[in-house]
Amino acid sequence: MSFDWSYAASLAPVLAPALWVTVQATLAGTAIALTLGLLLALARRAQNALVSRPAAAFVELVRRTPLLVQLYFLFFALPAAGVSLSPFATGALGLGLHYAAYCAEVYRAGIESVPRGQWEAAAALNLPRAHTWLRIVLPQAIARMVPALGNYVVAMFKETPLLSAIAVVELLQAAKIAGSETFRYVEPMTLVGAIFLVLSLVTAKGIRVLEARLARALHA
Amino acid sequence: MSPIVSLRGVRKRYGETEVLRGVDLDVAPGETVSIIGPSGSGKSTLLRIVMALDEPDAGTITIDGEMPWAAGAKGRAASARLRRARERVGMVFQHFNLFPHMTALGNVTEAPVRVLGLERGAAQARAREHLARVGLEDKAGSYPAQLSGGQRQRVAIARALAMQPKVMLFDEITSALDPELVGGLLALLRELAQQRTMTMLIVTHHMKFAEASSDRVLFFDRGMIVEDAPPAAMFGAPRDERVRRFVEAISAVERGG
Repeated sequence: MSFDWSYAASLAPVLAPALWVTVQATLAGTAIALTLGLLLALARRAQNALVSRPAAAFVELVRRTPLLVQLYFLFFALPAAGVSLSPFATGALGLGLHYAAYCAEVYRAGIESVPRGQWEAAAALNLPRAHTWLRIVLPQAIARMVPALGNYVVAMFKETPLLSAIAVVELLQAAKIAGSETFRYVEPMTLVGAIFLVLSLVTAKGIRVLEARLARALHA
Repeated sequence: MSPIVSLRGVRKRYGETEVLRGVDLDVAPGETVSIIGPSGSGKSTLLRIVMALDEPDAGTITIDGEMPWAAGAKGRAASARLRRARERVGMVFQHFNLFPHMTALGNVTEAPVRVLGLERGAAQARAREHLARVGLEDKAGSYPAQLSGGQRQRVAIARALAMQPKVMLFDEITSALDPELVGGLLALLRELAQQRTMTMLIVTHHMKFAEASSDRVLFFDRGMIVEDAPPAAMFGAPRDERVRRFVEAISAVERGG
């Protein structure tokens, strides 16, 4: 069996828009995961059990069930509850919610890694609580969180093919469709694998650069 | 004159151990008080209570007329009360606790801008004065990681001074330093005490410093003030046997034997 390079090249117009869908889903999922994850981490630290308990329960629920099941659940449960989202929006939301639970744990560890003395110094200077969070604790915590958060972004990117299960035409789905038309799957699947490999490597490198820059900027 | 710091029957427990077991203390404005005693005797906890970092389990504390933890206060009223008490007090910690992501100047300007509402330029001008006062006028742009332990502790002192507290607390500020840096820092402390502009509470293991530079010395043991006397009496003719043994043991180390 030989690899048909001209067939592979002809797939570019099909795969390019699908790659864009994959990238958009990853970016939207990342935005949701990073924001919601921080809120969940803060909620878990709340004194009030009515806030911390539900947040902890959500994190556990999401981390202990498969992403594919969560995606199907959102896909069928949201319309039943009267919320109609496009498959893409449902998929991005599913990715975001799933990784928010993991990011929450990273945030929590990062926040806890800031020594208690930093909080005490801020209290002794009478700095308000919100200011202590934003200016003292989070800048130090974020520098330590970037590597782990970055790993989850790459992991999320590699999980986007799961969105094909809820009718999102992302990279894998587009390759399957292309293959079904010609009964040649090796070229499209090889391309999909190669694209994931290259983009994962590039992203990981980007995260390492960001990490080094932050460490320098924050002197942490 | 009415005391600026006043504690009545203060008790504090961390888990199983009772760290303070009924402390009564009055400190007059401008007074310099050294606090000595074995480790784990509650000296640092006393400072944390005066700084209002920890709430006593029992007893009352008043700082310049303000009670940080008045009973029944809740929500906004309680935090406003806490802020008013903390405004009057500054603290220098054993491990400096500088903000590592800010320069020395940034460390000294952060709270004056945010808490006292100073305009940034004015705050920086004042911060430079305070850095000069601790001998670090040329280190304003340095990050804590680029400074020696002694320099870091000086920045921490400048940071606390910049808030112009009436009461300053020093919690074993030389314990984390290399021995050759201790003398300079104690000299700075002595200078601050001699200016008599602030009330100073100093937890220290340096008996000579306590003897030469304070108006009064407190000896702590097992969560209680065992002896409270002027330095001459504390070191010359202590009433309690524990004081005599402690001072002898520490002085032997200071002499290097």
